Amino acid sequence: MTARTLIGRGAGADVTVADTEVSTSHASFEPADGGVVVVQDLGSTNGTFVNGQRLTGPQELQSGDRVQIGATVMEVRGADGPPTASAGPPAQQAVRTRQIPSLPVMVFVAGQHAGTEMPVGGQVVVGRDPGAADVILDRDPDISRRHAAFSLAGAGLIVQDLGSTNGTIVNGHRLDYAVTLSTGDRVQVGATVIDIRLPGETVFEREGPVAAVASDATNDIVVEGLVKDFGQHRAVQGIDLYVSPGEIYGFLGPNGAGKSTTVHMLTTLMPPSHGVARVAGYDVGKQGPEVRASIGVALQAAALDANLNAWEHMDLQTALQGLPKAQRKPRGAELLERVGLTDAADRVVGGYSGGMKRRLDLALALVHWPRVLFLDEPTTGLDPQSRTALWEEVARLVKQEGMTVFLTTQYLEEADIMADRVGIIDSGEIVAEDTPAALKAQIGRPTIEVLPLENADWEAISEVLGRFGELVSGAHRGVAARLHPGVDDLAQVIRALDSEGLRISNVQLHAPTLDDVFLAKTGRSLEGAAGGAEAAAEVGVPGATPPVAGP
Amino acid sequence: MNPSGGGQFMRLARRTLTRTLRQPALVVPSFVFPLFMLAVVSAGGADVTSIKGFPTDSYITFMLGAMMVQGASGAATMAGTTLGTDIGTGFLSRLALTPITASKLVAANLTGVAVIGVVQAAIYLAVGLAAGASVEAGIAGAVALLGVCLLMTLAFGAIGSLAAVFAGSGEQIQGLVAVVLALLFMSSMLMPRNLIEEDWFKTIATYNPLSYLVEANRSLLISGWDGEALALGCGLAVALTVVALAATVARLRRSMV
Repeated sequence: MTARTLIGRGAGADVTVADTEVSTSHASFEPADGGVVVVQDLGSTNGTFVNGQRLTGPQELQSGDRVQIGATVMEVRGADGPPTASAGPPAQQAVRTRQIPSLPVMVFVAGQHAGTEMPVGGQVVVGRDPGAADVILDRDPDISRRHAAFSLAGAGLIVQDLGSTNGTIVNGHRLDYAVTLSTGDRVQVGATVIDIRLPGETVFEREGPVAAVASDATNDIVVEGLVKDFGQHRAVQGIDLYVSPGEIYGFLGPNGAGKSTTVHMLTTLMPPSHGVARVAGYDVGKQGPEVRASIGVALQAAALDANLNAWEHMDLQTALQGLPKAQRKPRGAELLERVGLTDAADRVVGGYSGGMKRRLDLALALVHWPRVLFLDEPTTGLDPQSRTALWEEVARLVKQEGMTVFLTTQYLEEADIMADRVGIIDSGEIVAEDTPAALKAQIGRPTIEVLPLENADWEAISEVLGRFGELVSGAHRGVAARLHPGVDDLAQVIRALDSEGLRISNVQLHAPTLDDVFLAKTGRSLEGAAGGAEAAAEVGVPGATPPVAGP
Repeated sequence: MNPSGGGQFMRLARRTLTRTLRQPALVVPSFVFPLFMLAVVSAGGADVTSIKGFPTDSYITFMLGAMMVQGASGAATMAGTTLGTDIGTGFLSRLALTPITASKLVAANLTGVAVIGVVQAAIYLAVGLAAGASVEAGIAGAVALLGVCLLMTLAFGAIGSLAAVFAGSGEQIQGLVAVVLALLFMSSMLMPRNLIEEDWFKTIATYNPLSYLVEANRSLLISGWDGEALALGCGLAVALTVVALAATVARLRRSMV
C-alpha cells in the first residue's frame, strides 16, 4: 500500500463495498513512517473494528491484524513479515480484503464490469445514475437510472426490477418484479450479465452465449376504443390514449366525467364493455393477474382498514404481494419512512388525518415495486401542505424509479404542475390532450377581470372591456373579458376605464389556464376549479379594497 | 417471487381476528347476549322441565345448546361486517389487486371469525357446566359440541359474507342480528318440537333450519350420541356454508377481470 485508500459504499471510494452496513466514506488506510499502515474510522455509522475492538481514533496496524467494516474483513500482512524499524526502505504492509464467506456473490461475466465479483452484504442497486446506484453501468443506454436491486434475504439473494424501461432478465425470462436467486442463476440488465453464486452451493457452469430476450412488457399504457356501459348509460365513450414509459399523464375532468371508471378498467377492477387496453404490456381484459402484478393503485378513497395500524397494513400488503419474508419488514419500514409515517406507524389508521391516510395508501401501492402507478384523485380533500408533499413523492418516483404515473384529478393546478401531458375528459370523451403548456397555448389569450367599486358602474365597465376583448364569466365576480390578440398592455385598459371616470376596486390579469381550455372545449367551467388554479397576475389599485374571494 | 399461499391466508385470517377484536361493539354484544339469555331464560323456565315428555330435568342444559347456536350466529355479523366494510371502504379493491383469490379471501375471513366462534363456544360450555349443565355424551361429546359449533360458525359467517357482497357495506349487516334472533325464537329453541302445541308454530319450527342446529347441540348435551340429529345439524351447516360461500365467491369474482 503506497497511498491513502478510502473504503466506503459511495462512488468516490477507492474500494467500494456494496453493503448497507458500510457508510459512504467509511474508513481510510494510510501508509505511515516505518512502513506501517494506519487505519482511521471516518465517522461511519456502524464503526470500524480492529481485532474486534471498535476504533476510537487512528490506529497503527500490525501484520495479522483483522479489520472489519460491515461484513467485510481485511487482514493485514507485512511484505516481509512484521514491520520492523530496520534501515533502508521500509517494508510496505499490504491489506488483503476478503469477504466473510457466507455472503452471496454477484459475478459480472459480461458488460461494463466483466471479470469482477461483488459480495452482497445488504442491498446493491444497479443502474446508470451515480447518485442512486451502487453499481454504476453508465456506458449502457439500455440501463435505467435505478434498474434493479439485489438484496440479501437470510442466506439467499433476491433480485427485483425497479421499474426499468428495458427490464431485468433472469435465466431468459423477464421479471415481473422480483425473484429469489439460486447459485448459477444468470441475471441480465442491458448488456451486463451477472451470474449468482450463493454460499455453500455448487457453481453450475453455463455454456454458450447469453440468449437475447424479447419481451412485450414495458411501462406504457395503450388504450384503444375503451367503452364502459352501465345499462343504458355509456360512462366512457370509446377513448383512445397512450402514456409513454416514465410519463406522468394527468386525466382531468369534473366529477362524473368517467375518470374513475377508466382507472377501474385499466386496473382490472372493472371489465371494459368494449375496446382494448394494455397496461405494462398486458391486456387488461385477458391478463388480469399480470397487469395487477405490474401496477400500483391508490384509489379515490384511501383504501385502509381503520382498525389496523400502519405496520399491520404493511405486513399484510407485503405478504399478499408475495414478498419474501425477510424482505417484508425492511420494505415496509423503507416505505413508511419515505412517506413520513414511521412515528405514527403503531397507531391505528382510524385516527389518522386525511393526508396521513393518503400517504399510507400511496406507500401500500408501492410495496411490490410497480412499473405503472395509478393515482385516482390522490389529493382530493387534502390540505395544501399534504398535497404538496404527495406531489413531491410522486415526482420523486418518476424521476428516480422511472415509474409511469396515470393521475386523475379535478384540480387544474395539480394537472398543471404534475402532468407531462394532460387528457381532458368530459362526459366520457377525451376533448383535449397535450402538454399543459400546449393546451393553454391553444387558448393563447389572457383574461382581464375588473371589480367595480360601485355596482352602478357594472355595465359601463363591461362596455369598456368589450372594446378590448370578448366578455366572459369572471372568476371573482367581476367583469371579465378574454383579451383580443394584440392587446397585451394592461395600462391601455386601465387608462380607458379611467378616462370614462369609472372607479374600480381591483383588476386582475389571468394567464390562460386549463380551465380556459376546458371552457373552450366544453362551453362550461370545470367544477372545483376555484382555489388558486389561476396563474393570476394581480395588479393592486391604490385605494382599492382587497379582491373579493371567488365563489 | 412466488406468493406463499399459506402465509397469505394466515395473515388475512389474523387480520380479521385483529380487526374484530378491536371493535368491542362487534364482539361484546354477540358474546354477552347469549350468556344473559341463558341466565334469564333458565331461571324463568325451570318449571318447563316438569312437562311430560320434556327430554331433561335441567333447563339450563336444554337451553345451553340453543345459546351456543345464538353465539355462533354472531359470526354472521362479524364476517359480514368485515367484508361489507372492506367493500364500502375500497379495502376489498386493494386486496383484489394482489394475487389473492376471492375464494381464499373469503375463506381466510371466515377462519378468523371461526377462531372467535370456537373460543366463544368453549366459554359458553364452561359457564353452562359451572351453572349445573351436563354433557350426556361425555368429554368426547363436549369436544364434538365445539366441532359442531365450529361448523355453525362457518355457516353463519358464510351467510353474513353473502349478505355483505350484496349489501356492499358493513352497516347494513347489523340487521342480520334481528333476523337471526327472530328465526331462533321461531325454532325449537325454547321447547322441543314435539311439545309445541300451536300447529303454526310447530310447522315454522319444523321448516326452520335453526331448529336442527339447536337439536344437534342439544343431542350431545341431553341424549348422548344421536347420529341423526348430528347428521342433520352438521349436514345443514356444511350445506349452508358451501352454498353461501360459492355464491359469495361468484359475486366477488364478477367484479374482477
